[in-house]
Amino acid sequence: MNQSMKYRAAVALFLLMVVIVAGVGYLLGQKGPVEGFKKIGGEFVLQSAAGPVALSDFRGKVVLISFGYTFCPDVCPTSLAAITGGLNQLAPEELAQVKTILVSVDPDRDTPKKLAEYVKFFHPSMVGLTGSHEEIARVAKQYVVLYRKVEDPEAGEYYSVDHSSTTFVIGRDSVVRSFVQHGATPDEFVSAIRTALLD
Amino acid sequence: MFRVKNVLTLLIFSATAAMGLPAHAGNAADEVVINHAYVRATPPGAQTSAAFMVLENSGEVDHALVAASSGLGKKVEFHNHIMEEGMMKMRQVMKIELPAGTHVTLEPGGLHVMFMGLNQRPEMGDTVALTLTFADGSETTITIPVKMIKGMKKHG
Ligand SMILES: [Cu+2]
Repeated sequence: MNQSMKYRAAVALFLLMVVIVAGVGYLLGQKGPVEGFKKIGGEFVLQSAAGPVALSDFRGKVVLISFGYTFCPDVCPTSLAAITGGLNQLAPEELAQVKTILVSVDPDRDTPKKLAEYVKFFHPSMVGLTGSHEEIARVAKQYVVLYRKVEDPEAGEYYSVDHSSTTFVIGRDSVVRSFVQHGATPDEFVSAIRTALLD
Repeated sequence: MFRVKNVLTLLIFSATAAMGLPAHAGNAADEVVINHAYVRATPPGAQTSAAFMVLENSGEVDHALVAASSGLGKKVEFHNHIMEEGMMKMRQVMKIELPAGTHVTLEPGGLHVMFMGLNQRPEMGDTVALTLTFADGSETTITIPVKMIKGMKKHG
């Protein structure tokens, strides 16, 4: 084994351990008391078409946070449509306590104005946020969200962005309560929202 | 006279058979049946949309889709989604195989026809013309409705 192979093996082992620890932590968290996932998530400030928006602006409400981009033809609209389906099932007094945020992972193409038009199509209560590359990277890191622009010289302006497709359900105290995976039905969003509203 | 009639019958029979042959030989455009096709309605300002459908190869020969074109987008491609490294990745597929006697489903979260650089916004009630080219060079143009997607159904 040469030096670089040893290094790689060490890195691989380390990553494997991280995955195991995270996995066990996740499972324990699932069964434990409802305290939420304090190590994931947290406060941020990003730009909307109407000015800066902070997560803490919605303290007292349940917030759904999804990461995506408007150029996304399928995965993001599918997730947002499922959220819309869920929001439409809520009673007006429940809906008044829920906010949905789409954070762009494509700040080069997604201007605050474009995002605002885009999210309004799904539900009037949704807000689209973007920022500088550094700001987006910081928020993604906080939420352990991965994203990467696809390097394809032929794609040109039509490049796509790989990204995690998890929706975060944030409690009234701004702490992450649960995760909803891509492919979830409107009903699954309804139950995740209602559980968070009860806390 | 008897003979002449037999020859005539034979001739007519052969001619009919010959005429019927091309259809049986398997032109993809004739043999691939397309059902449940629709284009996704997009939000204002969106630069992309997607079409979904069920393609059924009713023939006895394998076929494949190799290209698509439409006035809806400047670039039309086939794409697939793969979940990898914790990310949803969308990648171009050069060919969609349509084995004989099977059906292939293009659906949200999976294979789709992707329209990029939209020339107009597909809205509910609109129709979109889409031309599909098969590996054997045959083509079919379908006119499909634009629909809203109410959230995805779970797959198993
Ligand atoms: Cu695509």
